[in-house]
Amino acid sequence: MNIVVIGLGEVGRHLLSVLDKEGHDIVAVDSSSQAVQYAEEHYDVASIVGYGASEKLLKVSGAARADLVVAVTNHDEMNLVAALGAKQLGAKHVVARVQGTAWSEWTEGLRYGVLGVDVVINPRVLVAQELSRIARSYGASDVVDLAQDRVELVQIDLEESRALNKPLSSVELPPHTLVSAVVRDGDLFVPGGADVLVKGDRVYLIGRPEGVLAAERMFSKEREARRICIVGGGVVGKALARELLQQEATVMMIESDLATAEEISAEFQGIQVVHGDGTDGALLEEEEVGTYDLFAAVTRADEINLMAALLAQRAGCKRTATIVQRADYTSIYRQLGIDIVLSPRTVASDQILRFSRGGGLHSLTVLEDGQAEVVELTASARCRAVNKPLHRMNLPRGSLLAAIVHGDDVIIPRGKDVVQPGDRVILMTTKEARATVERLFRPRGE
Amino acid sequence: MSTQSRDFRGVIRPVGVVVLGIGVMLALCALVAMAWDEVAPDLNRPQGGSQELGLSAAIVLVLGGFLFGYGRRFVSDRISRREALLAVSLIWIAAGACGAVPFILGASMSPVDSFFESVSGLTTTGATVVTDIETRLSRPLLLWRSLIQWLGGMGIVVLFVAVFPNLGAGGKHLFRGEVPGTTAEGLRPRIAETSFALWKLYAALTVLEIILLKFLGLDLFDSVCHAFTTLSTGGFSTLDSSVGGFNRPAVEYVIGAFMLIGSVNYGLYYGLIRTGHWRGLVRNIEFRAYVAIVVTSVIFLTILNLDVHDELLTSFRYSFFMVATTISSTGYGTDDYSVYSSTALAIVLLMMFVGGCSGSTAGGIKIERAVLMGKQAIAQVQKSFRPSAVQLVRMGKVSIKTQVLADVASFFLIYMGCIAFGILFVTLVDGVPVPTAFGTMLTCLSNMGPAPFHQGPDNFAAYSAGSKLFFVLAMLLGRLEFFTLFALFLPGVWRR
Repeated sequence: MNIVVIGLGEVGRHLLSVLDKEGHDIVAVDSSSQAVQYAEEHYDVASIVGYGASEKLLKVSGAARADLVVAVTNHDEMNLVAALGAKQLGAKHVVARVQGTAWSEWTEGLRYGVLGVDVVINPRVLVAQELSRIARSYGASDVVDLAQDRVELVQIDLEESRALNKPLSSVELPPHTLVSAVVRDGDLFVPGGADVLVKGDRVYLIGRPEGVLAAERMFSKEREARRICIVGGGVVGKALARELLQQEATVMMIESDLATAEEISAEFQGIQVVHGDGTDGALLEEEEVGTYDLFAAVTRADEINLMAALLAQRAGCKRTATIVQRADYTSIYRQLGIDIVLSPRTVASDQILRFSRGGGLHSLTVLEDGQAEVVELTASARCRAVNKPLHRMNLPRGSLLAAIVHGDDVIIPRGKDVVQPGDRVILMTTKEARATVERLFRPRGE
Repeated sequence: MSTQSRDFRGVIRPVGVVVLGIGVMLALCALVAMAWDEVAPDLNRPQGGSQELGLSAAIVLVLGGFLFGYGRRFVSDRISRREALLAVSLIWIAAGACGAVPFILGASMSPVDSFFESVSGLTTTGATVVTDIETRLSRPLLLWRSLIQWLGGMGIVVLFVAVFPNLGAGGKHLFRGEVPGTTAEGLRPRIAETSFALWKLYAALTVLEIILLKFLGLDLFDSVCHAFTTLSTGGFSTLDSSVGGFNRPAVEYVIGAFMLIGSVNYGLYYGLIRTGHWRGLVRNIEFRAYVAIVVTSVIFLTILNLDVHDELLTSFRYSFFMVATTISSTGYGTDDYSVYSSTALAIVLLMMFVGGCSGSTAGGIKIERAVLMGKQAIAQVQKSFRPSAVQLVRMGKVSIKTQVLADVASFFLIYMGCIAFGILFVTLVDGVPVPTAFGTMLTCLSNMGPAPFHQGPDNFAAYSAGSKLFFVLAMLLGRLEFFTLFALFLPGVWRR
């Protein structure tokens, strides 16, 4: 696939690293020759230095023939113009990222076809939506909605419970749920009936939302977060507050800039806004952060988020969440005891990567730094996997057919279930099994 | 600071893979040669040789298998720049050594002679130590001798990168170790596809030449061998008297044309095929300079050589071939330049220096560098009276960065330094006159083949083993354009 990536910041580089491994023909564009040099050194891509939204550059980069053009510079307007220009030149799919407040209303996180661009992504809003889903869950550290909210994928770090230390086959999971993957000591595997879950494992549960909620209750003592403290009133903070208010939660927001704090107070009624520094331990004590169910540090500065979350932990808050711009930091945050670490970069690249696959994926969720992924696609009548029972489908080891959405009906399939043409399926595969699974679900002759 | 040495065992596997590849080539060559001798034997040449070739294949395959098996334990995720430099150097030395085995076994040549012959082939130099090609080398060995030249022409590392597409950015580092400069890159976004495209072009042109030569009445064997060594601008021939031995003007013109074709940047051909426009080729400054140099040289040589060849057409025939063989650094001979007038000889020497276009199979300084140096010199002179004027060195519409200019200047310095050191070394070890030593260094560094100012027959048989190994180093330096090999002599590569 011919792909043009404009803007080589955090997201751009991450996309390059993933797309390069997948073997696409990539042209990388940035206005900084240093950024281009970096890409040139580290990835097998062609590269151009220049202003990404200029017509000349788009032509030189081959946007006209590209299957996918991604604009992820730090300038929202430039991304939109570059994407529009590429579309006009004839690019098949164009994706633009925006992150500013001004554009967040246009997008509501993710919007198709708005302003003439195929997809406009606001990763900050998407992250806020994800955080609000996590807040609603019972102790999950990540929640992804699939198949238009009919299927849910959640990540739970296991604590001591009755369901542990016995073979999975003898664990009575709630109906319509299954354990799709287990991460132990950093390695992800797809469990079988004989595998035993132990304390410290991280599991990925998948199933119908109500079933998943019941399963969360089995595995975790945590309950839905009713009282949430947010640090930072930027795009993420505001979007999160909006979502949480809809869930009728109690929200307190700490914002260091007085004008912003007042603005938020005026915009959201029912939020307690506190003007102060989120990394001020005394302030956190004074505001009794320890009594909150969830503490979410979502400023734009990674360091502030980390320190605020650690201070909140010390003040007695049991669940802490942060966002992190530099996705390399994620594992360190986890080691330091932060429960929920989300990265706008990962969210954005998940949304973008699905276009690089072809075959019309509805969604793609990358798990554990690319060790596995969950894809959602419509089974074509011409693919090998349809019209035969699951046990004859020859799914490779390390993969799992997690759900079949047939009309409004969600089936968590067993051996005899059949995928019919037009069904939406949700598949989990490790990276080793991916190619084989793709072959099974790719329409013949494509 | 600690001076721990780096772990370089990650390069063993790629070297092993290339050695295995050479082994496979040897085996194929042995099979083809055996079948050829079976179907269409040539009784005028020495017989046998395919068994020795097969035996060499077995030896090389075992060695390669061992290296590969041992190296598999030290696979690094990504080939770093340092590893790439070492890997490229080792690949060339190992390939040279493997290519030498058939000469040791099949032509009872000494190991040093065989190594010289093999490296001379791989680097497309075409200098030889074999004084009696027609009576010593059997057809299987001749085929092998031409084949290694063909493989070395487009580059064994480029072939390696083309065959193993999963090297990621490491492939790019490897590619640059063998093909310095950026001119051939960027045909395709992925380096493996670029390499593959280059090889496809190269192979297609070779096939075309084989057909043309066969059509002109050459024996198929001679056609294949000469096509292999023409497009690689190598210059090994199957005859003692080289291409001149056929004494056929048409063959000379075809071979001359293909030598000229082979010394043009392959990226330009690729652009031509892809876009269908001649514009990219015709507007390319390097290509224009190349054509200009070729045309003027042919005209001047034709006129100057009227002293030697009385008739205009004869003079043109020999002069055209001389220009083609020299500027492409091929080194076939149809004419003896030692009887040329001094001016004509000077033109030949200058062409040897300059060589073909960048991104081609030709050697020498390369026309692009020569043009850049000239423009830079003019810019600097202009600075002497207008110091505050902005002086950009341009190549067509692209302005060249100072970094690149510094690169070109240091390349030229190293080139000259190598010639100077070489003259000292060769005169000391073998006691030859200074012009002779200069000629050998020039021919080795520019991967040319025949040495000007040579005493006696024009080959390297008479030199001592020490000098021959020194020439081997010079040929490798010239082929890899200095930086790759010289980098290994800097301690920073090895220390942490």
